[in-house]
Amino acid sequence: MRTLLEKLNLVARQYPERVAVVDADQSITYEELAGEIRELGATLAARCPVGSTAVLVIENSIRYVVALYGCWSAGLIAVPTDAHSREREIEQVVSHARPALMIASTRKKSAVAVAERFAIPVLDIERAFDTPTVDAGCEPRSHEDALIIYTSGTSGDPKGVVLTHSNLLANTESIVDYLELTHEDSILVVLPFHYSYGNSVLNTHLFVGGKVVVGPSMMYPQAVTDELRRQRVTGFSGVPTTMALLVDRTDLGTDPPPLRYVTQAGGGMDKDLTLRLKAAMAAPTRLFVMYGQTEATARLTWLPPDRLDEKLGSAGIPIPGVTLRIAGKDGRQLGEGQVGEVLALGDNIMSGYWCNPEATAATVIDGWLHTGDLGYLDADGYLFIRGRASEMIKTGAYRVSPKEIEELVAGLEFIDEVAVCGVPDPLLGQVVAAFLVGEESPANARKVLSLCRQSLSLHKVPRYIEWRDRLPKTASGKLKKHMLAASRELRV
Amino acid sequence: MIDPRKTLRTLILEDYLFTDDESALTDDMSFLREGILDSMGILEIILFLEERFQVHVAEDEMVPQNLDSINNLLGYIQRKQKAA
Repeated sequence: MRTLLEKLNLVARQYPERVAVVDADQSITYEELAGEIRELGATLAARCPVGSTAVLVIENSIRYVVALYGCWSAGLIAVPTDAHSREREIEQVVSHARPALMIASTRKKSAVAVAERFAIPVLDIERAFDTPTVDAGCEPRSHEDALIIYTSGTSGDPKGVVLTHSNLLANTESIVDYLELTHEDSILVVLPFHYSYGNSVLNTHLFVGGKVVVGPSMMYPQAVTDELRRQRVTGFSGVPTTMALLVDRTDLGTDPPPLRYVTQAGGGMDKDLTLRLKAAMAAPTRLFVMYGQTEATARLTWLPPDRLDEKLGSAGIPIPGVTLRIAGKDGRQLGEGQVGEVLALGDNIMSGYWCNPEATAATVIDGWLHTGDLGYLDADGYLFIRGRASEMIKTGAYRVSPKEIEELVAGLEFIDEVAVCGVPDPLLGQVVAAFLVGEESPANARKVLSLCRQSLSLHKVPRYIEWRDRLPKTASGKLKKHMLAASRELRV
Repeated sequence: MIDPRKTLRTLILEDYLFTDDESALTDDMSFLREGILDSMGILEIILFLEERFQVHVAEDEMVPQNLDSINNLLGYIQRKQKAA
């Protein structure tokens, strides 16, 4: 077996009647899903050359799954985006990925506006199956590109992480192995499918013939807990913020749902929350703490649940097929307990950044992914993360580039200088704070927020704004952001 | 006397949409679907309800039917105040 698509077709033959995906509107069996994927694949193959990119602007749903696998069925590279993205953000992706087609609901006016501006045809996902089609007959090869996931780069420009079919397959097989997933498993998904974590949750469960239930938004955490009980799923996955909301804002602990496993990734979860989550869950539920990166498809390490108490605070051991190494600034391999950059090697490491050979060459060196995370390995080979080498902000599950916000705000005429950094937040880990030098006034602060609100996804909009006479700098003029992060006072 | 509709509309328009354009927000607009609020935003709204309207929002009341639009918020506040 060479691709996830091939595996899905096998599963559809093995378990044709089993439910594959359930969303708010309907459910679909594996046989039906494979059929819809084939149909959409044929439609796409008739409209786009093999190897071209297709941007997806679709919320978590059966339609999303059909579109993703449908792209692969047509030999296309899928470029999923956040369906809640602002027009400017969709435009950034489209201008960089240069898609042959956009697959979206035409009700998404911002997406349609961008497609019109770039003269890209839009395939309305609500109507994509109306057209009679012939069999596509295209089977992608494992080394070919399958997916581009855009992340914020440190430079502020979007970076498209390119994953091949074999990257996706390798990571999926490893995760299935350590989670011991089977066709009896089912999962409630609140993570967006277009992010690497949500993507891996989706693919791993389809890989084994399990059931994927699209969950409600974490905006209403009690609805998620209620749904965990109602759906009687065996699994749940979340980032630390998800877990904090469920533990602190719902009655999870009073009647714990009968889960077999809970997985956590998307940033380090503090020890206290880890223990509270474990205490809130039913005794047989196994908690898997994990660590990874989009550049590694999703997963790099996992902490075996039976070692959780003993290794509390650790990101765990490498997943099957991954090798880790800690390197010093000079590239030299460091020994046990010594903090350095975490490097990773394996079949799950991306093929590179889309149309960005310089960034690729700086990040993947001799096959080793330079994660930008700082950490150490203990005597048993368990990884402990101790921070990031870059100044990216990690808020909830999102990585945010300060540069993107700084460049946007700096364009306002009353702003002389701006610095953006992450400040600690008990729920999200970090939130975005903007420090401004310029014509100080409440009206101007509102203009800054208004601009950010119009142009950026919610998680990038500053939660804090503070005016300063000047920004702290070193003698050579470099910004001392750590001083800003430690000093924010004014909440807007 | 507080006008709850006006108070809630002003809050969403000024603090989340950063505009004084009344047409930017209809009373039945879903905060979730339209991307007006996120998880943090909804927690802030709950704190606002508790402070401004003396309404205690129980965990099992944090659902879209109570909180996901101006109309839903108004209905929820009325039900809570009537029950008090």
